[in-house]
Amino acid sequence: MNLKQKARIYSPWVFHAHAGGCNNCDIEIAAVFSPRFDAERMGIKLKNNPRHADILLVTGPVPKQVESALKRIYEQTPNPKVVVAVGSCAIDCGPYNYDDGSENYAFAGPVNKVIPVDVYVPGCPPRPEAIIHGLALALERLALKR
Amino acid sequence: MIKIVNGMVILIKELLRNIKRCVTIDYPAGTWPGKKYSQIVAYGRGMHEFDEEKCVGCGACASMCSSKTIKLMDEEGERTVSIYLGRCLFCGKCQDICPEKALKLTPKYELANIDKEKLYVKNSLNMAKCESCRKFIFTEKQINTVKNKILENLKPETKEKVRPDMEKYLKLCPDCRKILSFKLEIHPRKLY
Repeated sequence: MNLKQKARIYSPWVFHAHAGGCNNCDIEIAAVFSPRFDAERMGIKLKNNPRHADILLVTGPVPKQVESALKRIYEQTPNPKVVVAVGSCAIDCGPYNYDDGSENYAFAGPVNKVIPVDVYVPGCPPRPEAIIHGLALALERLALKR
Repeated sequence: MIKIVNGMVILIKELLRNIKRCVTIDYPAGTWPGKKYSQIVAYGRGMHEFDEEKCVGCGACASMCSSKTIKLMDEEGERTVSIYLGRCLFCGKCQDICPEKALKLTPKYELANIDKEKLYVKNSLNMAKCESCRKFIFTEKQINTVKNKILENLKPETKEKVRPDMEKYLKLCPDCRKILSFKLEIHPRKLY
């Protein structure tokens, strides 16, 4: 592990990509970086530019309008990068899918179909601690990538 | 001079109080001495857990599930109740509706995983065969509990009449019950 990689793992920067959804997961992500659940004490920082980010936090079921934007955000983040799908919408469209399991016409499938996902965090919405646990798993993945 | 000392005393008192009122909670939570700040409550809704002895496989949870994550899958001789946590809303309806109180939501919340296929909670049960047509009908446990629950609510006089009838028709599937109802020599009203 070289110095650059070591520095990246000690302070990964996070970009929060909102792709549809109901804003509940976004509130929990805001809580993660608030003083109560303080993720910044572990060096994890929220940035508002994907070009600076190492980790992408994606929420929501990805509507067709957002699909191209999400792909562009993924391409803008520099390598190595890790994608974390937060919430049951991001994993499998959650309650937005029809009862018989068929896909909804308005969505371009879950995040899994649009961009490759590394870590899944289930919950509706997930607890802030659960998101911190997901970020810890994402760091393990980031250490393996180059 | 005295004013400065008094001011310092007040300042130190405020400082000490603020150390006690620490806002940030440790991760994993609950290790911090002031336990009232711990976020994990005993009735918190997290990962599902089956009580394998109590679960009957009736499928009440599957019919009640608000996002249709709970599914019953009948394969040869085995019924599996599978819960996919990726779509679950953790609403707790399945916990409320369960007649045997076998399904419970534990406060375990750390469910993040690298693999999507590991987000399943499963429970498998043996199934019973119909005696005439040799098809799988219900689970073995379900037949016993239905029998016991019906017999509980009856008077002791009628219980003795019903019990031999039940032993005949509970081994058959609903279609065969209709066909063989004349041969079984039981009153059709008793076919539940």
